[in-house]
Amino acid sequence: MPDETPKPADTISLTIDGVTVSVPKGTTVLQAAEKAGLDVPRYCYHPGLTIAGNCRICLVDVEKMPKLATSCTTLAAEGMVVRTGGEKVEDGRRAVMEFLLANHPLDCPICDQAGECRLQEYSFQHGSGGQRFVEERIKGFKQKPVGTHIVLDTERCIVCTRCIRFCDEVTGTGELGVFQRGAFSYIDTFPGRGLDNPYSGNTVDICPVGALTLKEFRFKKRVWWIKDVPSVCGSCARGCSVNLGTADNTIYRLTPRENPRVNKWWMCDEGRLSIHAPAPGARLGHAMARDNGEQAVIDHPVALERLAARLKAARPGGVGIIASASLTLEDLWMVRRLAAECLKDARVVVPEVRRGEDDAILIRADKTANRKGAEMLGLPLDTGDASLAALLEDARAGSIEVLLVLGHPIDGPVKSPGGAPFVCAALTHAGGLADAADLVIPTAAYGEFEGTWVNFAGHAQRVRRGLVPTGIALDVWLLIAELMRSMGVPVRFASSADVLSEIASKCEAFRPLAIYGGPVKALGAQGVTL
Amino acid sequence: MSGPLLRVGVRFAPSARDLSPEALGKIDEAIARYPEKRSALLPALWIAQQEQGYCAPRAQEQIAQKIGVSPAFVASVVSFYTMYHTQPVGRHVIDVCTTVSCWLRGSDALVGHLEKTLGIRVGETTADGRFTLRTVECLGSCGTAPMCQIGDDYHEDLTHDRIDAVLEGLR
Amino acid sequence: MGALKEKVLTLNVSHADQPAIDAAMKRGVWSRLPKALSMGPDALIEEIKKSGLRGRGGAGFPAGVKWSFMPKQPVKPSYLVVNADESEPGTFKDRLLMERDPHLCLEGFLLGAWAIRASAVFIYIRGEFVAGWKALDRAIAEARSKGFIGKNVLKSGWDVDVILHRGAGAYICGEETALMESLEGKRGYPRLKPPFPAAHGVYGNPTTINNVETLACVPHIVERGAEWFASIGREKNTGPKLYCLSGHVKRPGVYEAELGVPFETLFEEMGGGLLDPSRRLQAVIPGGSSAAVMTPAECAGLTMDFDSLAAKGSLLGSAGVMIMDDSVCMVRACERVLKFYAHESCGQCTPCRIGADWIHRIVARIEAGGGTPEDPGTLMSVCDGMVGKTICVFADAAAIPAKSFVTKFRDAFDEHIMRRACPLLLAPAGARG
Repeated sequence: MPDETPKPADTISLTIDGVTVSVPKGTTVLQAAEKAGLDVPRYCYHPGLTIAGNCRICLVDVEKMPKLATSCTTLAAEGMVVRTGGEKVEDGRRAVMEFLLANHPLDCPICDQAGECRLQEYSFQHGSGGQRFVEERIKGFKQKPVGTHIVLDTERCIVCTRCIRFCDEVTGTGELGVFQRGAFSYIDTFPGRGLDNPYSGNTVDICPVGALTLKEFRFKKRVWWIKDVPSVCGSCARGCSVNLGTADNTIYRLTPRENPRVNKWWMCDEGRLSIHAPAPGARLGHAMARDNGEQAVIDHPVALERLAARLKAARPGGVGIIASASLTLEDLWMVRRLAAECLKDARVVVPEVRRGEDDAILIRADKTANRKGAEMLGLPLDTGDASLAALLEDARAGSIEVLLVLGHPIDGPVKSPGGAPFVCAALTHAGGLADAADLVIPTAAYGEFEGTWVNFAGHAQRVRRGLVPTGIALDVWLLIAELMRSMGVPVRFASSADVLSEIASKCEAFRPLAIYGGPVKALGAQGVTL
Repeated sequence: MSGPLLRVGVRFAPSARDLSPEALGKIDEAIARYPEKRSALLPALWIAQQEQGYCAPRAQEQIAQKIGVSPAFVASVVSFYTMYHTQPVGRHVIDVCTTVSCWLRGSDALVGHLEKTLGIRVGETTADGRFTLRTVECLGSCGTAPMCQIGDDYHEDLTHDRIDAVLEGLR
Repeated sequence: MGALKEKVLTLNVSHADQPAIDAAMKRGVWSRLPKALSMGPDALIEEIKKSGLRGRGGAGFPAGVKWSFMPKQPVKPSYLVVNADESEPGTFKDRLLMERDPHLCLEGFLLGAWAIRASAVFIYIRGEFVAGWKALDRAIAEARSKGFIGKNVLKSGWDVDVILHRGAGAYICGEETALMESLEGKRGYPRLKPPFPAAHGVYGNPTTINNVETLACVPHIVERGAEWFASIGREKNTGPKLYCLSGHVKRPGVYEAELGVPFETLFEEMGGGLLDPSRRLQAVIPGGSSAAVMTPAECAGLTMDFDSLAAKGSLLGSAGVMIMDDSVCMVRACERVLKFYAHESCGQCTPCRIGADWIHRIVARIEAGGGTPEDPGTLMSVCDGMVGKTICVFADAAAIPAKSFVTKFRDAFDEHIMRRACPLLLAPAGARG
């Protein structure tokens, strides 16, 4: 029975490779083909940028049009019949590929783009497989730094202008332009100036070839060894969806993952390069205790026992907990439970970390990953550092006996000259507070823990583990669960997903995650706005 | 195949000289002539070149600010058009047409004669800063070939003697 | 046959005092403006349609039809853009009109603007044409002082401004959409079409782009009528036409004749035949270098109009007629033509950016004695790869002539390849001479 539901007035139907597809008016043939599941080759087209139509690889055969048409510039029309394959189209693509490769250097063996290069892919699929261009090649700039993080190779460049359009349209900074003309066209910056906007790294992502490369990633790893783990950036409250590019139990690079509701296709340089930021000290893998003035490694169960004992012995109101606003929902939920079920009048502070201003694109001044999540869980948020300062002062004065610091490395002295309070630092790296603490418990670092973060706008996303944690470093929620068991409360979760399920059932704000199939399924790849 | 190495690259001669208030004023006038100010970019570059002899980077930055575009945009426009210089040039720039009709009427020999007479190759400037020699494409004077343009003027129906006389008169 | 009974476009170019407005007006210039104003724009468009006036910039598109695409009730300001970027090799007719009869040109521009209800005329003149620029600049000031340009022109209620804009050296800015980009202060990159200029032109406003010579015909049509114009030439190829003769011809220059003048009349009678009568004619480029080259056999009996030349596989184009005698090495001639296109490609889209340079390099290599037997085939194939796949027709303008040289003068190419030198020159190929 043919479908007789009336179509909305502004949709049209067209046939692509025999498949009929309905699209809204204003859709291009290339986008319509994507909707039909067909991947038309493209270099200069990018959904986040204006249409350029200059690479000419997306040529398709439209019935009744005498010449091949670029599908990225051709609007889909009612009743159009399109072929994305066939001899005429393949001839056209072969010609374009030949032109692109004519002056192109044979850099594949040393080019970072190898393995994720569209020239390689489309040559393989549509190229002629030979080289008829025997003329002398035009020389360009190789390895030219054009910014703090970006290296330019104009010989590899196919002048698709994606990078220029990005700097013009997304960041509005316009650092790049095409210089000269004809076969001598090349991309560059104004003499003496660089490509130094806070989002410069995105030009490397969108460059379809190896013309723009990231200095911090150059020659580090061939991409076919890298396993991409979908996760979330933790450098600010935006929570851009990212891929952890992992190999050798290391994150070699962060790249943005498309998410229409959070970061579209982009991420900022600070987030991208956070994996290269220098650590305050060595990575912690074992618990340590300070006996007789020196820190020494102790067994993990021993550490937990000591901490439990100190907490039990503290008088009501004598325990302070500093919980980082970058802990996951699961971590923070357990903090709430610990304070409610095992402690009396514990003072919990979630410190604020702000730097600079929110910008109009992605960057948030709030440099924590889950402050909104902490708020939604009902934890007390610090504004400025009022509560944190008060807590630390009380700790030094002696009215706080035990200070439990979870994931928030504090600058400056915490202990009074007399030695109060007892400080337990659950951190990822040595240095600073960890060196001064009485008890150190290692926690899972970025990429090692699994959990949920909620960004400033209430969008919750799943943060995924891509690395095996160092030593006995634990997710904070798991650490607290073990601690609570040591203190006599029978807590058992098989995974962080179970913790999230409990949150969804007990905390009103997270009710939308309580679906059949579980909250992780609810979050999916791109998260849920709560 | 003989020929110079094929290499990209515009060389912008550095500069720290600001445009004069008069030049900036002329640019403002140019902006006022158009419905949209971005159209004044080419006129502004002509004004800068007239004053400083070439489109210097500092002037480009000032123009970028007035027009409301980025400096890189201005530089990319400068490098697209052959009449804007990115380096200082001789007092007189000799542009010899070498396209088909002029070639048919002896432009190759004319270029050779000029190279020999001036003692420089195409693209170079005489040591005394008097002449820069360039070859250009069709100047729209095919009926009076061979010919060249020096500054504002066309010099047509050239013979080697005629061009010698023209150069003699240019200090 | 083919010669005009009286000059039309070039009637006043030899008068030294002609550029001044008073002298021009004494000879009738500007008298057509009041007539057109009272006719009204629509009647003017009809008259131009009836006259059969076709664009003289290169494409030969009917001018009246082009004007009819413009909105009759403009919501945004409409613009007339005059394409005075004359850069097609072999062409120098617009320059003559602008330098010697700027008021005729201006009058034509104003009439065109009136027909399309434009509120401004942008004249885009190539940067090299300083004399023409100065002549037009002076003429505009004079016309303004007489009330022909400005607010309430001749009390018609029509406000129109004229903006004279200099280019800066780029052939591609003669392409109408690249011209608009350049006018908007950018690199001269042709635009994607659709949208077409009448819908989305300068600043996104409805725009018509016309060639100087095309518009210079309009005052004459207004004065003497469409029938008179259509009585010159032949069906669908009407009116007087300026032809540019250059190369190995005795009397190079601009010649005005009927559109469709026989080649022999133009070349032998008007141009005086070959520069060196002891030589033979070897090749003719009939319509600017973007037109396919023609052999003497193809030129026999040829009438120089749009349709006849298209039927012979070439173009009238800009009517830049370049004569080559048998002293010319056709491979070298091809190289020289392709060097132009390699230099002038804007570089925006892949096939032309790489292809225009590539085909030049192949021919240059053949010319210098480094050609191989595969080269002609590769060259033809690369040309085919360029045609029909680009944003504008520049690629076709390079590829089609290239193919015509190789096809029609194949022997010259084969000899270069076989002998590894130019057979025509005594000196080794590639040396100056």
